Amino acid sequence: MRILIVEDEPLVRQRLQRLCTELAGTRARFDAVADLEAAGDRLQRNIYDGLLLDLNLGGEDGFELLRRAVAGRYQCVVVSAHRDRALQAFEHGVLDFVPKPFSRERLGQALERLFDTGGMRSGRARYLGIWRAQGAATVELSEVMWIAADGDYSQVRMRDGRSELHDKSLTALASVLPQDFVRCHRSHLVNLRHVRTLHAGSGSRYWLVLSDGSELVVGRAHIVALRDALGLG
Amino acid sequence: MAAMQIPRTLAVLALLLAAVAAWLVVSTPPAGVVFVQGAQMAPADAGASSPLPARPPQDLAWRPLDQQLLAQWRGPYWLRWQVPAPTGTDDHDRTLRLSLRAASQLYWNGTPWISNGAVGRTAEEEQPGRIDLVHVLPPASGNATDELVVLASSQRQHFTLHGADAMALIAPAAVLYGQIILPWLVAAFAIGALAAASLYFLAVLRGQTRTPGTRLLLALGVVGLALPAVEAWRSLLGYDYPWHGPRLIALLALHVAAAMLLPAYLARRFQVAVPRAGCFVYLFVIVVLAIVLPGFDTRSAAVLLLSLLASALLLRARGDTEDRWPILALLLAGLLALLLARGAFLDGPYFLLLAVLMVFLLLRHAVQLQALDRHNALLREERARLSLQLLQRGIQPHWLMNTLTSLQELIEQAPSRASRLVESLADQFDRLRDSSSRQSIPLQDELALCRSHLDIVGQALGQPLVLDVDGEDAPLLLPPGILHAQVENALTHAGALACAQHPFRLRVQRGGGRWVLELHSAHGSSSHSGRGTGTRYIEASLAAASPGGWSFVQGIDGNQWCGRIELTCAS
Repeated sequence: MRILIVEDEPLVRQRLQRLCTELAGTRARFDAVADLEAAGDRLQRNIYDGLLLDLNLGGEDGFELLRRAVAGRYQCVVVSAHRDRALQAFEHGVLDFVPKPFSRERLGQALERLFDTGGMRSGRARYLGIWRAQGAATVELSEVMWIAADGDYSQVRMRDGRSELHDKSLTALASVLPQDFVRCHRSHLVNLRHVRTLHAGSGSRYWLVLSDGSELVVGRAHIVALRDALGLG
Repeated sequence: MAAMQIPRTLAVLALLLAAVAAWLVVSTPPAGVVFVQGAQMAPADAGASSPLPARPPQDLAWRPLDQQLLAQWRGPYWLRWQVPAPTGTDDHDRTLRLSLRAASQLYWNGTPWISNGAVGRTAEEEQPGRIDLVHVLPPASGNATDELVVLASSQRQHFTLHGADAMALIAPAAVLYGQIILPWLVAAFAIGALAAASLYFLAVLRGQTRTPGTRLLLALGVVGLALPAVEAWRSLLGYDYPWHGPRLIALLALHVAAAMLLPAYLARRFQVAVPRAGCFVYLFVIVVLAIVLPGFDTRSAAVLLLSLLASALLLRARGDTEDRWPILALLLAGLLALLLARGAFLDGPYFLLLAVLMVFLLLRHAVQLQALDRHNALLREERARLSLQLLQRGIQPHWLMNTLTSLQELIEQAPSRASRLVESLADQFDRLRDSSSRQSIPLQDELALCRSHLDIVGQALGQPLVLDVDGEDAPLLLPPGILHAQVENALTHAGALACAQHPFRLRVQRGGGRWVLELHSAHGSSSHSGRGTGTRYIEASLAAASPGGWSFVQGIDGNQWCGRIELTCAS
């Protein structure tokens, strides 16, 4: 696993890199840069699985940078001095929020989450960062009907029929999405808020009818979990 | 502002007119009051050894009553009035009021009647009489006139007044007493209003007598309250005649005091600059008029006339001041009344005018004080808010938490550097606490605060951050944190590294009555609108510390960011 650390304070950067290296051992490799410009270069030239990002979330500028960061394919952990902004950061889809100053143990927890994104989900995201031709944008997750795997990316279907493309894989995305998003197929996550009915057909064939009348096939491996989530168990 | 002056002017004029009209109505002598005319006077032939006559002698050298001459007589002397016979059936109710500054023995149609004190040939022998004697007359003789003869002495009249003011008045008892009391009821209302306004003013003042003109106004209020009290002393209580001189002196002194205080207060209140020589000339003229002119009424009238004129002239000098027109209208009304009815004006309407004017001045001054109180409360609130902001800026999370995280790392990496950083942090917080408790601090303290901050950032960065100052010794007081906020802004927007590469440069200059502080810092690539919380803090601090006398501009200057503060010189 390869993780990029973005931190402008030299001593804090040293601390992050030193502790991360000690905690991760051979499981990950860490690079550290001082600013987002340098980070952009690194991210273009290399493939990273995670980002440990220092952001000044005291103003709107910090959140604009955060929106861009979470729209990327990599998981994002924010390391920030603004403890009061943790909830907002989670709503924007970060995997974890490490408040400064941090202990070795707290940083270790954040790294474990990065290493095991499938095993837990922060579940507090309200927005999803997406890339458009004009740059990063944000969509509200309550407006998303379903999300489908599209190679290394994810296709996001909105209520108004639009489709957006997200950089993260379906698996990576599932780890930050709220509990409303349930896997109904190995290549689909459906938003339970928009499910109207679950239909069973002949030959153990199941499909969901959504609020806009569209249908979504349900995989056999996921029917039990889906029925539980819908309260039909 | 001007729109409010018209109703106020009309209101004060209406109030004055109502008070004066009420006074005139109740003090006009009603039908049935007879001022006995044709008085005569004659010296009594009483040697030092011979006894005082028991009855009026027949061979007296009577002459018409000359008030000025009588004022010089000490006595004993004789006075005679021919009282007209009663016209109707009111014989039993006829009452005499005799005003005479003497001890007296009265004879009615040649028969001893009543005595007022004891007439004497010397001051020791004399027992002073009351200045006003009121008594029901004995029955009439039935002739066309009755004769009232008075043997009097004024041995205790210690100084000669301009006139004797001897007077005999006959009226039914109810009319006579009513006429005395009713005008003072009007005056009592005026005094009550003035006392209430004074108490309200004192309540608003709450012991703060430092505002311009406050003491003068209070002194004027005391004069306004004392004047009718001294004036009413004779009518309501009466006194032995030797007190008449001191009473007149007291009245003149009060008139002189009012004449000095009124223009002095108006000059302070409306901030009219009067040359010192002008003040002395005015005071000199007042004193000369009060001493030189004949008669107390003439002196008082002249002094008050001069005071009203001077006050009106002072107000004329200010064109657009609030309350100018109501005060001017009252002064002009007083001037007019004084010129038209000198003596009658001084006996009553003058202190009614003074009461209305004082009530108006006291209430308006109280309103001003309340507005000042509100303004001061807002200022205090603003200062408290700024103080809190300064402290909050000193513990803003991005800086503080990053510094603490750096400290964590230093504790493990280099404990001695960590220790030094802890000391610097303690120094910074101590300076912030101290600065936030003050409205302004010396430039040197502000620079120390900036350098302390830069020292901490430099330790975390591993590179020193420098602030060069040209004019470091300037004797200048600043609102705390205004340079500190600019340094913080530069660190936030340009970054610590850029600030380490481009030292801060402050130039402090004085010129044209203003201090100019120019701070150059690294610009950096981060967006910098110059309208953030730091800028708002700087502007609010400058506005609170020197309202109207400051400016703050900032922007790109070449490859640097420049903040320029201009302050009116106060130190």
